[in-house]
Amino acid sequence: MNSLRSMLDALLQKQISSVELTNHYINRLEKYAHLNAFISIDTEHALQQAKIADQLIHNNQAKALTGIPIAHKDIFCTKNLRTTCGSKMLADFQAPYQATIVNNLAEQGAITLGKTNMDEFAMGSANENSYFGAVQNPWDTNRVPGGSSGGSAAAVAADLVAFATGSDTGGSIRQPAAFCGVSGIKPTYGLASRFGMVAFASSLDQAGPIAHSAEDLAIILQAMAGFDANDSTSIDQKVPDYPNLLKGSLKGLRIGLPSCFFQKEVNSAVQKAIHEAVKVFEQAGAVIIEMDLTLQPLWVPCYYVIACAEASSNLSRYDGLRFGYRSSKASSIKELITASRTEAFGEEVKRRILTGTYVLSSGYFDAYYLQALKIRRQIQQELLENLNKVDVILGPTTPDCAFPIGNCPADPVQSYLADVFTVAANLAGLPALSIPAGFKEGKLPIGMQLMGKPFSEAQLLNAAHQYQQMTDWHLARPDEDKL
Amino acid sequence: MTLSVSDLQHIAQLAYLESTPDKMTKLADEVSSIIDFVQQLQQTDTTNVAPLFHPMDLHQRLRPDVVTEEDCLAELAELTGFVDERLYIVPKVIEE
Amino acid sequence: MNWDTVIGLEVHAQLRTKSKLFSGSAITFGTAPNSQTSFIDAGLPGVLPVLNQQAIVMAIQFGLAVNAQINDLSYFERKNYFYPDLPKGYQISQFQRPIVGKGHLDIWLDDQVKRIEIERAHLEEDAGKSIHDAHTNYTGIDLNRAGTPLLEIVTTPCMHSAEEAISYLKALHQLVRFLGICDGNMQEGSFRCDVNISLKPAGSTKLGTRTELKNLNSFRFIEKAIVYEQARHQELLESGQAVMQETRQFCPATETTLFLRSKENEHDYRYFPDPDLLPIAISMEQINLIKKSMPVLPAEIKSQLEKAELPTDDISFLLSTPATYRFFEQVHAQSDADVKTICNWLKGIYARALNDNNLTFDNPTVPAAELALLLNYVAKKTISNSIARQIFHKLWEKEGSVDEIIEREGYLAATNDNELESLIDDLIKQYPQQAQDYRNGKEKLMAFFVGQVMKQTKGQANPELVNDLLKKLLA
Repeated sequence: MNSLRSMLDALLQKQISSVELTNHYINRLEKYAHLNAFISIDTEHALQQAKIADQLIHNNQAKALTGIPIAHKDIFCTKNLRTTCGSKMLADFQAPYQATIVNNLAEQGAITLGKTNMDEFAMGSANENSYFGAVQNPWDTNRVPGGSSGGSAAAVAADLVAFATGSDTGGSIRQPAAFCGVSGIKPTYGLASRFGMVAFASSLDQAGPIAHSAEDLAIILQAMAGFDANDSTSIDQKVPDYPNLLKGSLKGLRIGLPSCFFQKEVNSAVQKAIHEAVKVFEQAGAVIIEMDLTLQPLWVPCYYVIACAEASSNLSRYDGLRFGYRSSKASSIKELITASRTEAFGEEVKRRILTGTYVLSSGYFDAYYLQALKIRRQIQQELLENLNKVDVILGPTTPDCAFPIGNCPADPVQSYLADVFTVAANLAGLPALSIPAGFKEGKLPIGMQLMGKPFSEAQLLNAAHQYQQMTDWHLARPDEDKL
Repeated sequence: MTLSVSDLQHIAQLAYLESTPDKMTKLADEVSSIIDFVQQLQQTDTTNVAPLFHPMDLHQRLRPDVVTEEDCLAELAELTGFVDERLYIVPKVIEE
Repeated sequence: MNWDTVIGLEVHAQLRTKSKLFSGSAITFGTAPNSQTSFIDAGLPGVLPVLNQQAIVMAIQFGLAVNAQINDLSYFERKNYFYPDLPKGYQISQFQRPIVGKGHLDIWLDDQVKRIEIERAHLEEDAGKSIHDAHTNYTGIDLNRAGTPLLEIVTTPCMHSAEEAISYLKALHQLVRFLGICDGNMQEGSFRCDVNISLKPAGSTKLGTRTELKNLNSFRFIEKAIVYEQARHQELLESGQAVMQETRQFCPATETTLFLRSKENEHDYRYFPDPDLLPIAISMEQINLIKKSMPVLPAEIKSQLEKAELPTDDISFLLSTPATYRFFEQVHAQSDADVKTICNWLKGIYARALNDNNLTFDNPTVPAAELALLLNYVAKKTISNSIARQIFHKLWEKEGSVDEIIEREGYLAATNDNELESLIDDLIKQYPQQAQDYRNGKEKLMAFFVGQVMKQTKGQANPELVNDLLKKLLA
């Protein structure tokens, strides 16, 4: 069963039961526990849910995802399992409420097997910033899976779950999807509710699915997305029937190829794979249009100013006083709060909080934060203008493939530069997805990114789906022996 | 370097973060490097450009003035061991 | 050396919404600690704010009442600082673009009008409460108040004396209560005043160093604090010392101000627009709709009552609380009695009864309709004032309605000439022999008829009038 559709059909046709399917995944995630993709697992609860699912299927009451075992990135509040955000600060946090997207998927019958590992508070691109240890890339266990949704991407790539949820602030769904040879989509800002998703950078964060194919993503996104009155930034628009919109031909589809996506810094194998992919699109009748995104060099610095600024404020609630880690040093309030935060936050989180505090501070606000917001508008404008001339913007998801674990550059900025292709979509609020487009040296996955106008998910998913009908990169699986 | 250790101390105070002296130097280097990196934004001409606070050009939705919440202290108290007689417990605050 | 005092005032008025500014928690005063603290109020991970519509309406009402500019686009910003009663580590407030801009409120000082300039009014959420004396070893935090909507109203530094300041505060206090947006309860903290005060040499254009006064929860305290602080500044300046920029609190026991914290420790609040909230758009249509349903404002009421020639004391009484005025209006609407009469009744017998029972016009024991009816009877001279007062006390004791009481006690006097005449005619028909005998000279029978009339009118009829009518009709 390579796809969600085939899995759902098998369940409905009673070729397999949800209990069997759930046990299948439980066995795998136990066998491959060393990948460290999960932070917490609840097999008992999952099997209970599976039994209920089988009953519903038997009674012809199945919904869109009934009986499908999944995992949630540990950034989404769940009532059953802890929500740690990959941090010591929330290592024992048991939320008394649930994220809206978790509820949405549960309502459609999905079964939660566990919470996946992630970079602490979603800050990182390698899943090496987790209090719960690094995650291994199933394609090469000495390498990183990407981040911050590294656990989710690895879990999907190693078939430990049918699909997983992730969050994307600067590429945290797309980049690990690319490194792990799976598909992931960050929807238009406001499409999926942020309620119950621990905030990193509020105006950039979005929730989205990670799965094996665009078709899978379409089914899952339809269930996840939708207006939520509890989120003031949630868009009040009907969610299109994505799974039924994957029928369009690619003829005449205008694909924009920005020249800056093919600079010399981009690995040659990656460039080659993307060019091959472009040929596939051309053969299907798409029109390739070269374009220039002159503001691209500003994307990453602009993103980091805004993301750090918002994060520095969003993380102020972690003072140890009402929940979360509380230091045992307690002579004064200030000492207690400072010690709690210092002892419980990792280095990257501290770096970003300090950077964010700096750019918002008196004397620096105009030069850094306000300036970044103005540039953000310019960046959005440039992208929207170009998206009037093309339907999708295509390019590599990342400049290179998964790198070895422990290879952290001394200069944090070096890691940030790896986000060069993904941050633009978050700055402008645009939908963007990543799908597998080949391998470097035959073993490391290469991801291709498609980005579109606001609310063009159907078009993006269709383009990706059609590509996946003509190629089989998305069908590849890591070698079981090497897992 | 943009940020000295004492600059960082001040920022760390605002953020209620601390670091041992040896770590402070490293942190100051790293944060300095980040600030140096984002410095390039200042060279862009943004005259007459309005800041973009939200990617979507929308306005705040209003919620009807209705009480929808009940006493949930039982659940809140489970999140911390520091609730006594219905109050959150913190070290004595001296001022005020 | 003569000194000018310069005063600016900041008032935090707690809005009378049913729920909090960004969450659906109730905001009732005096409930058990943390019984009105939701997940959003506690700043738990992943929760988000959603804006209360009524807070916007109330802010607009205030803006209209002070002739202020209402900004068509305003937004919320985060004021970042750490404190245990501030769960998110930031307060959602407004900084650069408040909802209400410049306006003014006129006050009267010895029959002179002074226009107090309001700089702005903005919405923000309140913090929780720190309870320091509950325990010896720790401080307790109650987040019931966290998230309550506040309207912060800021004046320019345009006042020059404690008198002006108090006059403005009282006018503002009255205004927000009459608008129905704030209950003005200073003891409960619904109306908090901070004073900014400085001194400068008389006539100088350069402002002196100012100090901020807090913890002032009555008009009396505010006045004393200002007077004390004025003197303190003067003494420092005259002895060549500098006034330190600081925040001071008023100590009611000693009636002095005491150092609280230095302004040098002023926080860098790192204000920036809250990314969890979108800009608030207000249209002219919305404003006009709110304008149409605005209640009558105190200034207008005062003007109307002055035209009705009501003395100042009476006007002050009627405007002392919105409930008082509302009750007055209800009685006035249902009664022919004149304004002065109604006011006398409310100010006198009614207010006394309320005071004796620790009640207010918010829950009037005797309904307006009943009082109106009673006053109508008095106006028509159907009953006398003293009888009316007796009826009032019986109404207070819930002994029935006005008509029922009159009926039962037989208060209705046939003081009407016509009624008496027809009564006498009936008596003459009833006792023709006695009437004839009287006409034939038996003058003693006058007493008989008078007695009959008094019996029939239960002693209410006016004896003199009865005598005259009998003489006329028996002739």
